[in-house]
Amino acid sequence: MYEKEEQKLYDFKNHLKQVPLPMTQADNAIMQGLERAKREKMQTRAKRKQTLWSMAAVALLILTLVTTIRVSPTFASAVASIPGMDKFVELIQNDKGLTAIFKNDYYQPIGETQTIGHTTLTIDGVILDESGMNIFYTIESPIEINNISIENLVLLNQHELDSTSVSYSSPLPEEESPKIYTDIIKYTFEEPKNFEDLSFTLELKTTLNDNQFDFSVPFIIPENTKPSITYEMEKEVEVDGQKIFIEQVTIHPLRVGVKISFDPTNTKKILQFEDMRLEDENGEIWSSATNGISSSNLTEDGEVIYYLQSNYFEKPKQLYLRIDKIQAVDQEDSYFIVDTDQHILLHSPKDGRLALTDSNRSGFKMTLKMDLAEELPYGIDRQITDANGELIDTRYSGISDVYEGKKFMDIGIEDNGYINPLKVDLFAYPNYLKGTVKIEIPTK
Amino acid sequence: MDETTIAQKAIKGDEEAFIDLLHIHKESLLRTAFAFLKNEHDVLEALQETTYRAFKKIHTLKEPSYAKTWLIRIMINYCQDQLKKDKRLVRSGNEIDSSVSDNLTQIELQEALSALSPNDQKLIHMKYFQDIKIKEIAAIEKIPEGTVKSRLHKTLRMLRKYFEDKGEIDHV
Repeated sequence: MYEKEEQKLYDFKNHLKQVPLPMTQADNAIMQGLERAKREKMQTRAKRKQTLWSMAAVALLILTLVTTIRVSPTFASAVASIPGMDKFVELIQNDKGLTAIFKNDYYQPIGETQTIGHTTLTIDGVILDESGMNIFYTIESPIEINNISIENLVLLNQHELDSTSVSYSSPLPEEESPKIYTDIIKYTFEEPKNFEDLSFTLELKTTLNDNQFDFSVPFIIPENTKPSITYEMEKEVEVDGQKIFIEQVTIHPLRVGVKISFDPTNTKKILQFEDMRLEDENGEIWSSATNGISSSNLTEDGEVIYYLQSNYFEKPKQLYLRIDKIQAVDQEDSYFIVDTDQHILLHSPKDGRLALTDSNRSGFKMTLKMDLAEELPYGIDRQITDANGELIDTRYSGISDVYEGKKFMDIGIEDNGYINPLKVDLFAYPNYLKGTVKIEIPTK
Repeated sequence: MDETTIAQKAIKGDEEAFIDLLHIHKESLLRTAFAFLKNEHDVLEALQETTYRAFKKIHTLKEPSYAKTWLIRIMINYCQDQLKKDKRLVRSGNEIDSSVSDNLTQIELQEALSALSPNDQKLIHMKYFQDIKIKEIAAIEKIPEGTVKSRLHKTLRMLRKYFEDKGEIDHV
């Protein structure tokens, strides 16, 4: 627990509160900022017509370029043969869906660049579908890149595009060429989208060797998306007496979304699917879209969407959705109860693996017994409520690797005068349903 | 009219509502700026820039009840940009307004915070100085709640390490 460090933070906060504020000048500052923004908006409107024209010219150029490359016999053969693509091979080879996209020419080369000082951002190419956009880019620096981080990233069409997730690698320059950095931005749209206007702008704020670069690169995507395929499944499966509804499977080129919900009368609470995957008649596998943990969004109706690698370009005779490791606990075991005044664990899953080692009103520490072969790549806490059902804000939550047969947990909470005991809902727990899921998905 | 309704109108392009929104949150915005920038002139400029950026982007704000967090985030981003630019210039110490950093512990903490990555600094500011809930931080930063929690945990651990190492040096 971190009382000392947090106390320093709170002291600093109180200290900040005592700084006298220039309230009158502040009103002026607000008005000046507003006037400046308004002035600029007027100017942009006047300019827009002209910009549209030059963009159309660029679009024509790109189209010509793409057609020229298309006829080249090397282009279609393999990913690495696309000029400049060799550097991305490592980043895509583990994703079968992405590999298939290259084999099927669904990757669209772009080649737009922006140079700030002597540092250049190149958008090498993109993959766009209704579910999102993958952006392949390269940053070249005149000096060796010691550290690089992405501070902010915005993708604009006519407006900023809403995303449920944006992912990029933890940036590290290539060992053999430390002046070049390549990565893929994976932008998942909040809702499936069809674009009429295929001109986009990528705003990328990066810190490179402690210098900030604010890139803003407009680009036009030559071809529109291939349509996604949606299957209304409405299938019910029963595993270990628990009902799971597979509602919908949507196959996009970039990912497959599987929408699932659970019977509210289930005696067990299902927490995580560890190995959801698609498998064809030959046992070939399309696994989860992210390494290890499936991305999922809980929608309002208690539905969860899991994302898997895509089989969009493959045409298996048969395709199955399979899950073997389903994390679940009895409903009454789907939470634990801690009293932080009396320092006791009042309730926890009946397997007795959880233990409270330390607690006070601003947090608690616990251990979770783990078998040698067991893995659990998740934190176990979802949300915390007090005796009155008030939601208690978590300040931090950490879980260690297995050490001497145990995982160590450290959870910090807001002491807003809450009433003990606290109920902590489980997010994950190393206990599994007996049984597996295997259902057939229609193929084209 | 409550805050959320005002934010809703502002998102739709109502200029009066936008000004109201900035007035409601100007105190939080100024305090955030003071945590980074130290002198009044820079702080006022930061507020002007935040207003400017917010007005241009207000239509992209999806959840009106998160307007305050959204504005604070713009402010922090701007302040961090400024600090980076300033690093290139040599700064004379007496430029710093003593009203903010007048005791050793505060100065130490500020040092420790400035050693964090910009993203970790942002989380600490939102969570500890503006009391923004994890859920809201997650929504505004577009990262899972679990990630916010574990990053805050990691950051506190780094702060502890910073003070521990520092303590050893001080005692030598």
